[in-house]
Amino acid sequence: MKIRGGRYFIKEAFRNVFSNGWMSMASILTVVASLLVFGLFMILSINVSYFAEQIEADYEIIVMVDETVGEDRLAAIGEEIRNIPNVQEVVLNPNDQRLADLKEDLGEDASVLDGYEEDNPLRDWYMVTMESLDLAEQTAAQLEQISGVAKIARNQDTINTLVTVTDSISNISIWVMLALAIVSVFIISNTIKLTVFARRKEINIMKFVGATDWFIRWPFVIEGVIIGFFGCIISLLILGFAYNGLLGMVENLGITFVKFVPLSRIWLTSSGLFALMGILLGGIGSLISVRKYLKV
Amino acid sequence: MILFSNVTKVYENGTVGLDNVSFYIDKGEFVFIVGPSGAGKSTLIKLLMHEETPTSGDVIINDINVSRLKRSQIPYLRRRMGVVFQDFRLLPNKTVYENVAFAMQIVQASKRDIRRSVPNALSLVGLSHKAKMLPTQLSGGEQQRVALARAIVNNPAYLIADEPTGNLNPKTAAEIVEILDDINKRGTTVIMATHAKEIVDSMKKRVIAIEDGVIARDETRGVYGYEN
Repeated sequence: MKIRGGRYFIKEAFRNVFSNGWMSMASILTVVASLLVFGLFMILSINVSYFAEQIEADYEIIVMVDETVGEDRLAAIGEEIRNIPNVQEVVLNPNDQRLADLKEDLGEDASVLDGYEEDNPLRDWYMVTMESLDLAEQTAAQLEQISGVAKIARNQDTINTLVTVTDSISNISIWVMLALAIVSVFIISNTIKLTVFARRKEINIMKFVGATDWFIRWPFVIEGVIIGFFGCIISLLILGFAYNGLLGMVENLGITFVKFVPLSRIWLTSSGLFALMGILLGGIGSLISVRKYLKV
Repeated sequence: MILFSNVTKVYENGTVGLDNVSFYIDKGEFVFIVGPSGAGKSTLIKLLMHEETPTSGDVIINDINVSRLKRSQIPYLRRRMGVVFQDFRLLPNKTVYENVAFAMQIVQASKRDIRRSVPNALSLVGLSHKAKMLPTQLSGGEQQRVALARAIVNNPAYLIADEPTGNLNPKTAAEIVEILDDINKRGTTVIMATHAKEIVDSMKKRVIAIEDGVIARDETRGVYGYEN
């Protein structure tokens, strides 16, 4: 593409966007509507993953060490736990600390535990967090194999449910987003088809004067990209303000048990993704629309 | 040169457009294609423009067999041809100047070339003074002259005119043919499909008459030969 050709295409594309004002507006609104629904699912998916991450980060397996194990073996067990691939963090909760915590919990009744300091019946615990909950079962099995480990405590049902729910929501979101993208391309191509139809005479003349297919396509594709880009900006602003409003509302209501992803963390990724989606939707939509009229 | 060699065109619905047609048009000729409606004139023009491809036979233009042309090469064939239609086919939202310049923009000519060639083409058709007007502000004859300027602005080797005077009164039609004759005298091969008896009879040019898809006559200094 020569530079003067490029200038011509861009100039034509902008001229078309503004001269077919209402049609362009309809196309932009279509992109906005598609991207808003797409964005809702994206935000839902990101937040579910974020929620799962938090639970995963907080989730611990308790490794109870046999009371007959000595100091050296206790330290060696800690090292063996750390060497298991999926293990993220290992914190020792020694039995004397546990006893102290128990006394504190009992408050006024703490005296019932007097005298146990010398012959502590509690076991030393290792609190183990994992990198991925998907591998929890395998990790638990490996922990149980370690010599000197009396028992491990975990809630496999909770993990299983969590993994299933987050996986399902992620999968559903991906399929919904994909379906939306296809539907959007179809709607946008139909909307742009109307502008192409209005200019079929011009395309016909261009063909007879010797224009190549790409010379004819470029202004339409750029027009689609411009429409997609405007749609992306508008939907980003709407989603950004709405999400920020939601975060503010949650904060005002004092809801602390559910943490949402901060806007600053998803802003850049979603802007890029939206721009890409908008541009692709518009561009591909235009390509499909103009195809029919090039067969002369 | 243009060579039709045993060209047959049968459309998908079974209609025979041309049936085993052969002729040769030399560089610089002025040829009228005449015949009753539905005889095959438009098919011939469409084959020349590569709007249709022959069912059998060969269409050769400048030693290139255009029947076997790849889709991507068609635009480059069309750039060697100027084309004028009965319905002018001008862009209503562009001025006279822009309509003519449009043909040059499409072949990605430089701005300098466009500024030089467009006024020349408009001057040749006598419309320099109406360069800034829109097609809707012009008469039919003037619109066809704009179409002619657009057809010649890229200096094509061939000018194909499909019923260029069909929508014009006799006086305006004569003016258009006069311009076509001028263009021909500058070396461009002109092929004109027409129903205009008076024009064909007065010009005394080569006439190829087509009837029912076959060549009925091919006369060097022919006449129209049909009653309108």
